Amino acid sequence: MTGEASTEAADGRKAQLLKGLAELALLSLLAERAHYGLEILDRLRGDAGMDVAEGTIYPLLHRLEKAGLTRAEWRLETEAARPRKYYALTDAGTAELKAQAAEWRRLSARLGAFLDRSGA
Amino acid sequence: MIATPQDRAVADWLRRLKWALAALPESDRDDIVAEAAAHLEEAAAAGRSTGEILTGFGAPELYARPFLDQAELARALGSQTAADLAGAVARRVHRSLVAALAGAALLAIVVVMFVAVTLVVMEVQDPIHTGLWLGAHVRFIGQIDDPSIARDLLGGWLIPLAAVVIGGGWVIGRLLLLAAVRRLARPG
Repeated sequence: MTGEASTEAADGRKAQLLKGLAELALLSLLAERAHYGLEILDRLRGDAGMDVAEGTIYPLLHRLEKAGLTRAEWRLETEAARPRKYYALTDAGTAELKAQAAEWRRLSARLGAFLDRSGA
Repeated sequence: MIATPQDRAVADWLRRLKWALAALPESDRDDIVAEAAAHLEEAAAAGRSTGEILTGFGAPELYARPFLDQAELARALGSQTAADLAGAVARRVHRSLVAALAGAALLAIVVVMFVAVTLVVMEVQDPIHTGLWLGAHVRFIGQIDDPSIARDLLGGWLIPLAAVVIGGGWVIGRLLLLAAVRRLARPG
């Protein structure tokens, strides 16, 4: 019972943290090259260890596109059965990634040092 | 090809999504639906279960909501009319601190403007008794029963001052709404 409850609480904490960081991870991923939705989801889950859902990633992608941070285009590739919508980073997106990454590093370094102070 | 229950579930989900996105321009709606359809097809082809993918997307009506939200904010920012901006803020006061604060500030501005309009009407109808009254026992703005007991500090300035308050309230109110909607539309 207690074990179950604490697992649930841990999942909740993780979800809260991940939500804010999904955008940063996404920008970082798109800085490599243009990706399409399913590929983004697989890489964020597999490489970045972020448990993001389809229902989260697509609205986020569209919001970033509307904000001018990403640019999207439909491409029909030879190996794909259907056209895929690819998202690439714009210059504004690159600048946003730099700013967010710097902020995250500063934050995590300070918080890490703070948590380490008593070995907790 | 025979339609499996999975195919039917996917078709049904996409149909409901299209329906839920009815308020969007057709090209935006088709784009969102085509993207989800491509994802469902490709993920299923990669061996994932349809149920699992649909769970990831969530109910079509819930999945549609952030797209509708974004479109409404974009529309308000595009038209920049007071009604669109106020509508976008008003529909978010219960779930956004920014919208709630902007709504409260706007309400205060509207009340002040309403008082100014009321004073102008009073001044036009009854200039003798309307003013900013200061006397031994009275101090208020509005209509006085006996003008001889107090002095009108504004006199002929009431209408110009009220006009400045109304005009200023309109400008500040619009700027406030615009700033609030921009903040609401920002990613993150």
